[in-house]
Amino acid sequence: MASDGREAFYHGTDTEGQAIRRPMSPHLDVYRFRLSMALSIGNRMAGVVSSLGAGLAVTWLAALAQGPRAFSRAQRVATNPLGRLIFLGWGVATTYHFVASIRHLIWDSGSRFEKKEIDADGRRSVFVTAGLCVFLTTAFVTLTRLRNKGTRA
Amino acid sequence: MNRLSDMRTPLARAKGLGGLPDGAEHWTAERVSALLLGPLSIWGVAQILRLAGRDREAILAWAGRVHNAAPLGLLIGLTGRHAQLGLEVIASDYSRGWRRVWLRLIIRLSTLLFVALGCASLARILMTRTPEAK
Repeated sequence: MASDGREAFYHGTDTEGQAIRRPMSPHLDVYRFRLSMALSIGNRMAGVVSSLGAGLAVTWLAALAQGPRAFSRAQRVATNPLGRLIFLGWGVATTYHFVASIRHLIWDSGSRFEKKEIDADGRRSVFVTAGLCVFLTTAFVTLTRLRNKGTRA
Repeated sequence: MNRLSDMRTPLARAKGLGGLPDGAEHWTAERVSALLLGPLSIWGVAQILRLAGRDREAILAWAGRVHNAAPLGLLIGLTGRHAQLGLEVIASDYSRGWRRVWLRLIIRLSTLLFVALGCASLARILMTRTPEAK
């Protein structure tokens, strides 16, 4: 029997519930890479990242409600380089999840299932996500700088 | 709506090995919450841009207004619900047996905690900023 990376996944249970070594047919490693599969798993991961980011956002809201000291601490965390990177990652994930959800709702209505349409829409969703992210990040950074300049002057 | 549950074999249903214990309700709730979250998320992004670079007082004044607090509360509640539904789908795809039971419990509790934390914070902001105090 083949002794490669797949060995690690050969865990199964027999009808008695006992652990048994059970080979699997190749299923993940026999497919050529396609954009649609990366976008599909990407949407799931984007959903998880969005949820985690929302948890951080609500924690920030709790700090806002708690008082000035808690809020300034939250702002220190949020504006340090790592905090900014996490905020950006949350934004990108949520933007992609939003774009992909539009595709899903169209699929649920029964259209755009043809292979050509799926490939074209997949490429479109990447461009739309990238465009939205660049626009929103630029808008956020510009507005923040403008307003900070206003308070210092 | 019954078509999805009918697609499972009788044995799978009897063993409880289907995707989820209910029929299409879970699937439908995921879509409905997504549809509602669409416009609410656009509103949320607009508010983030509106508040970018503002100080605590300005943000509190914003959150203290009912026409901002109401959609924010709705956004928090629906985000919690949609996250719960989505994470449950992932848990049911990649786990079985007791692990799945525990994962679903953790997902339910953490998303519930998320909504509770959001609502409590919002309530505190609204209560400390009564119209008279202005």
